[in-house]
Amino acid sequence: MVETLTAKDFSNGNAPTWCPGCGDYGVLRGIQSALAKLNIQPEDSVLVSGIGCSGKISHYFGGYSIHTTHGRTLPTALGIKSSRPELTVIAAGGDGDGYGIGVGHLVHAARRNLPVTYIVMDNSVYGNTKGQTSPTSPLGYESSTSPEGNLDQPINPLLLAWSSGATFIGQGFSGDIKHLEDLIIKGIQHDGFSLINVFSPCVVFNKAQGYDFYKNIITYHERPASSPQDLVSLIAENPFSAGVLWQRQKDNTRYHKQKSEEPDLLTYLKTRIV
Amino acid sequence: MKSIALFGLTGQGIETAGEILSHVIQSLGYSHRNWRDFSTIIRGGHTSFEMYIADKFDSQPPPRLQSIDLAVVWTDEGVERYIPRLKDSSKIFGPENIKGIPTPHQGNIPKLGFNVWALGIISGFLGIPFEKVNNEVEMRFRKGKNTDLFEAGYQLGLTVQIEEPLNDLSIENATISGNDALCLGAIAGGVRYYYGYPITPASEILENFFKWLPPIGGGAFQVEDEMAAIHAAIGCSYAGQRTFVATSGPGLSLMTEGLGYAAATEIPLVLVDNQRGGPSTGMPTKTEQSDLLHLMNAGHGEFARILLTPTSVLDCITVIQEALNLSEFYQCPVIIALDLDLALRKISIPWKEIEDAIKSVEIDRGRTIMDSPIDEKYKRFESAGTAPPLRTVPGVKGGAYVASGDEHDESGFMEPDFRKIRGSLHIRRLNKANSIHYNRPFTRFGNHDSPITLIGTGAMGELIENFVKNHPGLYQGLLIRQLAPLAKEELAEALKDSRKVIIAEYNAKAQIRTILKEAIKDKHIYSLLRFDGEHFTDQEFQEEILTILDGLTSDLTK
Repeated sequence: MVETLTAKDFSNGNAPTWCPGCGDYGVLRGIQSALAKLNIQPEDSVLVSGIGCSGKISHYFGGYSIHTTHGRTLPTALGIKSSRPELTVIAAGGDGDGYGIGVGHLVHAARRNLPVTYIVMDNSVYGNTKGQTSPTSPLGYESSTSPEGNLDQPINPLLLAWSSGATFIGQGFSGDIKHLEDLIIKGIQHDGFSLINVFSPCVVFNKAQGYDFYKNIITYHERPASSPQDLVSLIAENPFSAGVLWQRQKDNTRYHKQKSEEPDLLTYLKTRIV
Repeated sequence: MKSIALFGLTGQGIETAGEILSHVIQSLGYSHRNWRDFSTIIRGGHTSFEMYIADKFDSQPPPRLQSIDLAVVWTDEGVERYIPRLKDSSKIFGPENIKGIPTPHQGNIPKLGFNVWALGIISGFLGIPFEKVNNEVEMRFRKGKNTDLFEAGYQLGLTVQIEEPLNDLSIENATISGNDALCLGAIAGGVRYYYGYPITPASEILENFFKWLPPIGGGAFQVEDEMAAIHAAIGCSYAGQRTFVATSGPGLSLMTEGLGYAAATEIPLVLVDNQRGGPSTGMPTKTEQSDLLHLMNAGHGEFARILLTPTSVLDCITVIQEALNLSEFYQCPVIIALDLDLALRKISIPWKEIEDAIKSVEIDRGRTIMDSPIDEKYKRFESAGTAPPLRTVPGVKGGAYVASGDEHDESGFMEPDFRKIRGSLHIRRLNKANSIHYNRPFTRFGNHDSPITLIGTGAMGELIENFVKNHPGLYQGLLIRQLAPLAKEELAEALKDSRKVIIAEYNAKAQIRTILKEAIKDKHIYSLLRFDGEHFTDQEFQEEILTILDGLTSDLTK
């Protein structure tokens, strides 16, 4: 008799210390129910998180988790997934973590099609350090580090991931957990790198982009874009498009566990050098 | 010991001739070492190749020898460079009309083909059977003209042949560098995954693993930078697999972030630093031992670490295996400091020696729990008596925990009561490697009761060993294998009869001396320092040491 897993099995019982109303609660819930629905055992799942409010997510997760340094979730996930391919590995962090300090790693994880689901809790602000401008803050955004309004073009994470070769690109909203959960399930099932950008409001430091803002602006898409042109126009029309926006299959056998008979080590090592 | 030199222009195939010679000498079973001069710039200029061959049955190759038995040179610069180093100044060969080369030793040879002619001279001189080398020449070059050049050279070499020509010793030899040795030891120590970013002089490790790991079910990854490399290694180790990271100074600076993280989270990590001339990009192809003080302290905050230094190419095989075991027991960073010379030095030695080094250490996973189920009350960061905590890995049911760089409680959770945790968990983590169980913190040889001890490590090891061996009964040699934690008691015991110690190191600020200070404070200490990127020949080293011993030291070296 197989016991059915629930989201609760993916909680360690710790009460989150996020602010009331924080979008990250929804993301945590989405990850927990997605894993339960896929019937992945907690001990076979690893959550890798970065630094910032969102990085605390690993402290509330009931499987194995690793709360890394700022921006280094994806390299850490590479080490876990490549050496233990049977594990389900999810990386999670904020927009500062993934599109600021760690943006180089995003590009390379996408290039190498690392079979990890990367969930970015995007609130367009540095919440943990009390409200500075982030890489996805809109032009004109006023904060303590852009008092005259943000002059730097915000990162478009979806197109950046696409141009780096990502084979799964999705976007969701922590105010719509049902949709988000489905998106995460699809991301985990995808054999390759998946980026899921999640609008996860910071109700304290970025009031302009709260739940209502997203509810009004998000458009849902049922099917991934059929061509690169389609993807670009979809994102250009509305950067707040939600759903699986891009998905392609690519040979990924290098990450699949290959059981091989280990030869006699001394004999093997000798053949390397003699 | 025999030593030969080959000197010509870049593009004349000097190195290919060296490779052929090395291959032949290896097949005869003689331990030997090749040395290539990098001091000239890569584009244009000169290239020189030297080889030092051990006498029969020696398990160690000679150090870099100053005195040369025979030299074949292409230009006047070669004559200038090698005549002073020749034991017999007439044993120099080259093209016609070069001053300083005896007329019978001159040949009318083309610029391209000089290398084959020179190979002939060296082979004749050493008494290697003609066919043995000629076969290799014919495999690598076109027959005809090259065979003629080789034969002409060979005949010329025979005119000065050594008394006891090399013969087949029937010993199976292998050629390895320090980097190769690390890779062999690592695989024997259970490493199946490797993540690296190319950097001189550690790239060879990454390249080796791309070839060596896939056939045994593992793999290597070239990542985007050193931050990625160290974090991938940490992830791999967290997942319960063995790995390590290797780099040199500039990469080390970037990896320092991960070093502190591994320490805070008590994830086992082995880091290799192939030291090169610094600071910054410095001298990428030149040797130095100048990162040691950095390695002792790298990282913000305070944490435990172990710092090991191999003393020879063979020792690299042992040290990496020991480091992997130590890291899993103590769950703190274990750093191995090599230097460029040791990392890149290619030596040919009996396979048996390599095999013994590989077998010298057993894999010990320390405090790692690989199987379910585990105790319900399990807390990842709770110490068990005086031993470090038990560590679960993903897949172990009931062992799930969070590893966090944020200060945490014994379960791993952040935002604990800091006042409580800093006095308990932090103190335990900080002091857990204050003294470690390490069988051999140094290698000791020579006269144990001597009033004078020579100390060094890494590339300096073979020079100290050679010097002590050449002055039987006079001195003691100590090659340091463990710099942190300092093996104070063992050092005090080994130095009990020494009133004077000479510490030889490749840096300007006497870093080893600084680190050893506590253990040697009652001694008269002399430093021999070199930091121009070059390494000593046996003779240079001996002269420097004798100068110190004669009390003729300048203020600079005191």
